[in-house]
Amino acid sequence: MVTLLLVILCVVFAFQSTQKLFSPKAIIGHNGSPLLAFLYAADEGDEGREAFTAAKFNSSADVGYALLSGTIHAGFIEPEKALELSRLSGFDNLVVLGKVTFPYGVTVITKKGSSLRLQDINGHHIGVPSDNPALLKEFTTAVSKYPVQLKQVNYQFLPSDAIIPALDAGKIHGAIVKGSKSVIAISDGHNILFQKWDMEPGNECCPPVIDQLEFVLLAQKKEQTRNRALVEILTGSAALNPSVLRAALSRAEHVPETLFADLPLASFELADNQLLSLFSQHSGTDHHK
Amino acid sequence: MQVDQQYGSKGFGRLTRGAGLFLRNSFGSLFSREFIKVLIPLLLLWEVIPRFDILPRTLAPTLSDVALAFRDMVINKGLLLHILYSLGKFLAGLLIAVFTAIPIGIFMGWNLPIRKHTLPLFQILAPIPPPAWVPLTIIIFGIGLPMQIYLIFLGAFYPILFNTYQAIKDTDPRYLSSARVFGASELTLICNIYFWNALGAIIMSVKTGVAIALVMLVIAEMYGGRSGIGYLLVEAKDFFQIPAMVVCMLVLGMIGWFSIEILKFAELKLALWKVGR
Repeated sequence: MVTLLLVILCVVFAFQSTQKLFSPKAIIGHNGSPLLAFLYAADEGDEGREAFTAAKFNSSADVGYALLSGTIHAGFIEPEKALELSRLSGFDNLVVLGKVTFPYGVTVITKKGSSLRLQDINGHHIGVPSDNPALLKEFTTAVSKYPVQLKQVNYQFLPSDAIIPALDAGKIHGAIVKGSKSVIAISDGHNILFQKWDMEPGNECCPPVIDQLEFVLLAQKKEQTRNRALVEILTGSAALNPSVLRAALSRAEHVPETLFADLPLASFELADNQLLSLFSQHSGTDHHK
Repeated sequence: MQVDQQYGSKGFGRLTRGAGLFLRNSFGSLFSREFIKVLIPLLLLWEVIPRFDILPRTLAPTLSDVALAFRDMVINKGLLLHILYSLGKFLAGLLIAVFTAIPIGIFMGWNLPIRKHTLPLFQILAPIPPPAWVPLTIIIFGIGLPMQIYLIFLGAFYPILFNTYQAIKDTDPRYLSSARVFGASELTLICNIYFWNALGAIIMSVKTGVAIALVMLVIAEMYGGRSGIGYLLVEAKDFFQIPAMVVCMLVLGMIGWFSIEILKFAELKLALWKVGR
């Protein structure tokens, strides 16, 4: 029995090593998010097609597992999940390469047809994503500049994916969401009650890294040459004309281009010191270059 | 000493004897000398291999990591409550499947016109993998308990139906002829010959149904579920809590094993003539 187990283990290892040896193009994992227009555009370009293949996964957690096992070279993961991933010992083999940010900050949405105003928010039920409670602090800090009282607001902490359904079902009167989620809500016909626009580094409440950060690009640490080339291609793609990016996005998502015409696009940038410090603190390893 | 005095009242005595027999059979097979010889080395390998980084500890937690995660989930995440929720949904779906598939299978096997009218439809629908029904089920039932129970029911229904139908159809015609000679009605034939002859196959099919129902339980709890082992498994997976994932997998395995043991015991009690085969 023990011999059989050891033989099976050896075969598994040999197979995995062979796969890594014969993989010529970088594989970038993603979850098919509409915020990755630059990735889809890069994947369609000549330079991108030579350098990498974009592989879609069911969720960004699967991208994380693929990164840990070494079967993909890089991947986009949500920051909350990436921070959890950074606690695992396999994260030492990974490096934080870049970030995807969305221009809108914390947003409060209300159900379509609602006439609720910000000054009347007391006494109402407002949903808060339980996996990103920092948004509540961001909201209360932002609203403190206005003559609005929040002492009697009933905050209900719900999982992120339950917030919009709860709003639709009337279980909550409004919901605090990340800027990018508000785009989805608007396209469903919901209203914006409040939105923070003036996001700057060194924000006195919370660093934008929490609020505006949509994805983190993680990559295999040992593939430095490949990583440099990837960042160059993705940064170049993010600087393309918005119409080109929207066209690539509509092809990738199989939806009409007009759906994204009035919506801002997420941008891709190299990981800054603030982001690297955040991951260094969480993982206990220095991620600065 | 009379039996009553030795074992207490008849009913309670039978119950305790039955429970004792069940526990002896089920846990006895798990903790037999032969299996212990396999289990202990496997557990040692499980603890040692990740500890010495033969497999990355990140992806393959040690036995002690899993034990700690189990303790943490019981104390902090209400694991026992989630197990109860899952068991409730699992049993509801399975029992609905048993009480619908068995009668339909009996009627299909017993009566040719019924079989000709219904069998082709089931033969077309059965090969559709149960997970493929998820989108349609969500549209019809929404996301919640009815959807979850329906998916579990769907997983268990077809194996039970087809095995029951086949076993009924394969009843030895000599038994039926003998019974008819003695004036047995069709109802008597169904209740006393068809059903008991097919019982072994029915119990076997329910065991298969249990395995598929467990798969569907996890899939059902992934979609909008906020409770149950499947929900905990997906949440642990999404946030890279691998020891917690392993705990959920083991719990699901134990639920499946225990369900099969109950069915084996039921077969022992109900189909005594098959014991020893």
